[in-house]
Amino acid sequence: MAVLYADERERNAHLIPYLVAASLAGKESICVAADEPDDLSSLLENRSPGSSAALVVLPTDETYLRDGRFASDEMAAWLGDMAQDAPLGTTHPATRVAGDIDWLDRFAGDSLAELHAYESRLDGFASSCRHTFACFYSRATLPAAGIIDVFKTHSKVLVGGVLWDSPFYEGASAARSGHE
Amino acid sequence: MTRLGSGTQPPATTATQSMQNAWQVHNVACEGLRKLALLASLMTTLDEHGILELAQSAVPELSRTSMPANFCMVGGGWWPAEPRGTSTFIGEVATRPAEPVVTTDGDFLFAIPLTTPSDVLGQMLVQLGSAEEANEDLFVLQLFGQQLGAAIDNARRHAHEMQLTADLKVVSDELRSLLRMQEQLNRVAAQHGNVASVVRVVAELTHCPVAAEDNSGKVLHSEGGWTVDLRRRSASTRSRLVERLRGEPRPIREGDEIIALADGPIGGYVLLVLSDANAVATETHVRVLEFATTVLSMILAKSAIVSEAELRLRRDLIEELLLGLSEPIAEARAEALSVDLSRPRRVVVIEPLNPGKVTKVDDRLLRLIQRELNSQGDPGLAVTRGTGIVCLAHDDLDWERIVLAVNAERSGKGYRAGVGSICRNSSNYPMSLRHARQSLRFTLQSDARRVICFDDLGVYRLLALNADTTDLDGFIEHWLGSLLEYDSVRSTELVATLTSYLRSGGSLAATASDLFVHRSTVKYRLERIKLISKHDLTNPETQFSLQLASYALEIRRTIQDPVTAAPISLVSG
Repeated sequence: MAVLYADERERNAHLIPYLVAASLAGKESICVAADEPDDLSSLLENRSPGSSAALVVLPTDETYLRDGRFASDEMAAWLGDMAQDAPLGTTHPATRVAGDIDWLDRFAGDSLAELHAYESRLDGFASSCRHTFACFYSRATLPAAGIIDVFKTHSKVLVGGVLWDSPFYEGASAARSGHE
Repeated sequence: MTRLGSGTQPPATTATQSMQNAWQVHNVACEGLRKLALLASLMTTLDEHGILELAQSAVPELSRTSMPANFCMVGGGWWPAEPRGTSTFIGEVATRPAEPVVTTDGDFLFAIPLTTPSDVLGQMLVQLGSAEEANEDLFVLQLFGQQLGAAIDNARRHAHEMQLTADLKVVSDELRSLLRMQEQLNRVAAQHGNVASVVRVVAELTHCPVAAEDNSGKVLHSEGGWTVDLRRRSASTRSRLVERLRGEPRPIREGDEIIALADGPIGGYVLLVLSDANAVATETHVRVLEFATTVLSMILAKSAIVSEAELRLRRDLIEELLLGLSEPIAEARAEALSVDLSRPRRVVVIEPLNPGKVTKVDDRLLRLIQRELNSQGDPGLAVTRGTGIVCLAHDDLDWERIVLAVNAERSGKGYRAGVGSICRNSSNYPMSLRHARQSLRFTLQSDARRVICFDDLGVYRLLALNADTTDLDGFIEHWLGSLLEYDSVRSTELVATLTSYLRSGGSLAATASDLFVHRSTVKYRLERIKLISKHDLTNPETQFSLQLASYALEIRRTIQDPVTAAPISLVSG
């Protein structure tokens, strides 16, 4: 799922319930990337007091932007491993993962192309595991030209508070093509 | 929710082939509409540039073209760039929407209008491979064009509103800042502020170094780390600058400075200078200066009025004291002016020996003397009178120093001071004034003495007391009349010889030396004096009367013509 948000308030309005609901249900929640992980952790803990499930917040500079660049290979490998541990049809505990992509303006290079390639890989193993992945895109840093690519790599998109089945989703098109 | 366009199509059979085709077209159209709906929801949050970016990347997803679209906006030109080979027929394409033009490369080029209910904002140029493709895609693309038109129109209106809001905020902030500035400066004016307090407020409001400069270029006060030396501006440059400022309705910039003029009454002014070396000054800075100069002008005018009123009251007090105003009234007036009349004072008259063509003294001399009085701890009660100044000064002032300073600044006039007798109460002032004038007359005869105090006049004090000269003239006539007439007719010096002889205690040698003549000449003249005056010069009473008459003659001559009267020698009183 991709969530397009305008500002931190809108992000938190979706991100916190998404993670907290899993935590209260006893599922592990991982929020990847936050500039101020302590602040977000406090917010999450306040909303889920007494929850025994892990609720982890990882900072941006140790995940997406480790070593000062977009570490797409490392991230894809890490999330791929996580997906392999809980394939569909098993009873392995499901985890909710949230990735906050508000850093696209922080590194040079063809960030959109690299991001699209990364998201395509992630989409490949996300649809075959029990985990739920939600990518939170800051509209302040995501160029309009990159939005269609986001829609192509996410089966569901949340825009302006409305959840859509993405009509641009390439995986779904491929699936439909298969049926046809 | 049933998803249109997927999983609901009927099985394909030969009999239903045409229906199947129609169903496929229907599904494609439905999927296109779903895409349009999602894009529409997104476009409401984008600006015009974002909408075009999104549209460009969306066109290949809405049609079978692989080429991104180009946009030709009315009044805005091409975005992102003019497509190759279109310049010759874009006009033709635009006037025939949905009708293709085949390019030189054999592509079908369509201009999809971006419309609003009332206007066409531009064209979206889409390149399709064939007429068949066009037939299938055109419906969705035309809808998309309408959607884009509405979104762009909306974005423009939103941007316009945002700009208006931003402009309003700027105006509002500026107004708030101006109100705050006005409030602070009004407070300065209301709280009897001065030049320093205005400069301080301007520096606080502008965060820039500020200084106030007077007519002479002297910095009256500065704030905010002022380091510029204003004296670099010559008098003529300053004069031209002031003339220019008087012709301008607003402060002007000169180099790194913004300068405003606060005109005071009677030609005085203050320049308010803001240093803008870092070029940070805005319209607000100028407005602050503008309003500050208004307040400053008010302060200068008010200060002048107060000074003028105080000066007039002081002048009235001095005049009334010199006229012998009754004590309670004088004391009440003095108290109102914070003048301590209980302290002993003397009336002092200062006048030039050579007034030249000047018939009335100017205020500069008054200010100069006030300054000198202040330097000796006397707040100064002084007024101009005729060609001089009259002061009611503390009794212990060093008048030699004051007169020296006056002559240093007003060279060529030879200012002298006559210091009157001491005044212990307000009724003493008229007499002290008379004594001061008498003392002044003696200074006009003495090259060595620029200041004479009445206390030092000795016997002259007695002779000078009577302002009515009738008795004095009679006394002189009785004792010296015949000799004076003789001298006048024969051009002799019998009176001078007698005067010198008597003052030397009857010494022939001393008299001869005093008059630069031989002793025998003195003896001869004494014989003539005895003969003409018929006085017995050996009689002590006669000697005393003759001597007194000679002093009286000097006084009389001084009163008649102080400048041409013969120099006198003062006897310690």
